[in-house]
Amino acid sequence: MTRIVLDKVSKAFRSNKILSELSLELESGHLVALLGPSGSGKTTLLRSIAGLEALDSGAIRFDQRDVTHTAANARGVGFVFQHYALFEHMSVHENIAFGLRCKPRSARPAAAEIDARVRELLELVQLPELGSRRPDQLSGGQKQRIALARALAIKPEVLLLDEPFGALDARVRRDLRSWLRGLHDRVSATSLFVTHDQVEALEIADSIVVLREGRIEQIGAPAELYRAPASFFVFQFLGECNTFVLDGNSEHPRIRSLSASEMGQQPAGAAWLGCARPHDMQISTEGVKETGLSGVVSRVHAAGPTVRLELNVGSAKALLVDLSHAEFSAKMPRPGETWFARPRAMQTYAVG
Amino acid sequence: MAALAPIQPGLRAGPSVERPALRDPWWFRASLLGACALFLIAVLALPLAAVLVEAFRRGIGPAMKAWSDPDTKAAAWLTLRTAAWVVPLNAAFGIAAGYALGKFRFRGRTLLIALIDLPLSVSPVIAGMLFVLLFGAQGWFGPWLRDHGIKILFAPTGIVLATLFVTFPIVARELIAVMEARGRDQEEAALSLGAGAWTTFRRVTLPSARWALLHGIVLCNARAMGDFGAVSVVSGHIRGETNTLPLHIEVLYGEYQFQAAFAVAFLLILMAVVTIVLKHWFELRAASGAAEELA
Repeated sequence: MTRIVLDKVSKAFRSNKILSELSLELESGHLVALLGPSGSGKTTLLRSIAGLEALDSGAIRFDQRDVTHTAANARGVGFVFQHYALFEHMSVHENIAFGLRCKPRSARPAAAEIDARVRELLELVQLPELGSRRPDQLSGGQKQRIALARALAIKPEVLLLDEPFGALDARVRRDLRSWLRGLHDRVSATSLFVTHDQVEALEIADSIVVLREGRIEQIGAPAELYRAPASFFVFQFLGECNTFVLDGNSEHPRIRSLSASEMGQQPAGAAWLGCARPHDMQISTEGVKETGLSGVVSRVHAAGPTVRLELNVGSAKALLVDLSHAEFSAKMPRPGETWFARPRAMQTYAVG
Repeated sequence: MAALAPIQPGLRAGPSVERPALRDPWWFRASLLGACALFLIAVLALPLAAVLVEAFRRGIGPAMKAWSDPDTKAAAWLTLRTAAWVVPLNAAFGIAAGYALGKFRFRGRTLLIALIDLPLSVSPVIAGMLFVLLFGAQGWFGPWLRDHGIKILFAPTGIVLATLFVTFPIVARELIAVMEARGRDQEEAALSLGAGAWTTFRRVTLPSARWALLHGIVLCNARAMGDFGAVSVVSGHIRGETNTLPLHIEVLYGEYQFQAAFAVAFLLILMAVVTIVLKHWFELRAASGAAEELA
């Protein structure tokens, strides 16, 4: 297994900085998620590790081996593409065998050995009967599993996946990601996958690297990240949130919602922003002046594990409140009624 | 009505489902189809029929005689020889251009693509004139060529050059489009699996564009055998030596040997028909190769 070290890597396309002096160490054998909005540099970072993109400066090391200037075909990295990139003119079997058949004669396994390895990989991805199919006879989920088998054929120490489930249906996506977790535990590779889906990252990764504009915003285990997002950006990115402006002194903060003109920019005069997840909100008919907000219920959505309320508090964005079904039945808020809401728990971030 | 469905070459058509909302009134469909049919009859079927009738008006004997004429044989031979030079050269060029321009982005790329299209937009006669200007007795390289005893104009070499010029965009355009559409994912996948540049090209890039390549080759061949304008300017019309089939037909016609002219024209049409059948077959393969393997 391989420990991946990135040392101050930078990359720009024309004057557009994609990665700026980014340093990162990935534990060997871990499954790591690269999470970030589009344009944050996560795909460029992944492609740089694979050698498909050349860095402007910085170094990449696999254990002690400096691969910064090693060609992509000599890095021994398995790469899985968002759109599968299967060889359309070859059968599934030939696709998986490709990496082995490309090896120099001295390192190439015998034909029978290659066949055996392909069958083994087909078993591993649970598609043993599809060897003779063509890629365009497969479903998206099957294609991606074959692409994974193809990448694993060369026994890579580093496995890179670029939004591997990005092109799949929500349901297939959910199945495949827990399957990927299981697969990763069985093959010994350090794996890094790019995603913009925080649920995916939180669910299967050993650790998550949150990227923003070519820099690392936070690194941590999923639970740690979810519990204590280091910045307002990470908090927002990891899930839905309600944002407040905190006025007044620290002992008696007054809470108010962002007005329409304050959306997307720094609220004037406020030093702190408060963030609370919808399930950390509570509602009551009686208001508390400083820490409560009143609003009109604009929508009740009860078809789910929790009941979602949208409260119109006069700001640009409605306040989101998740109640348990029990609490909902006890209080019975209805659209059009006025309710008070306040956060049960809240993270605060300094503005600026 | 399948006849009025939008035509999307290269894309696999789904099962032809009747879409009532998109269905035009019968009289509209009938008049469109009728107009098409009339037009095809007037400009295609009638002239072809005329060639057939004229070629065999007095039976197969005179036609056979026209075909076995030494000048006709020489013309047919020259036509085939020209195609045998031009098609491989332009296929090689087309592959190179398709790979470079279809898979890579660089400064001047658009200009290059425009240049490749140039032979399609200038009249073939002008293409021929260019070679006269370059290699003619009064041309740039004329004196030098004469001193070294090299004959380009009024010789098969000139004919090959002119045909090369006229047909050179055909394979290239086809491959640029296909390779651009495929993108570079498959190449990158091959690279990450350890394949070198040549292996990637030979086992991934080229095979995935094979039907487009064959299609381009067939079209290029058709044009190479049939070109008149450029070849006419550089050939010199030396009977039995520098006349290709199209030029030979023109000569025969000019000498009022109508029957022989049509008989030779029939030969050329026969070659075209073979080409069209091949082209159609390649298109089918390209569009539904996979579908048929499913069965």
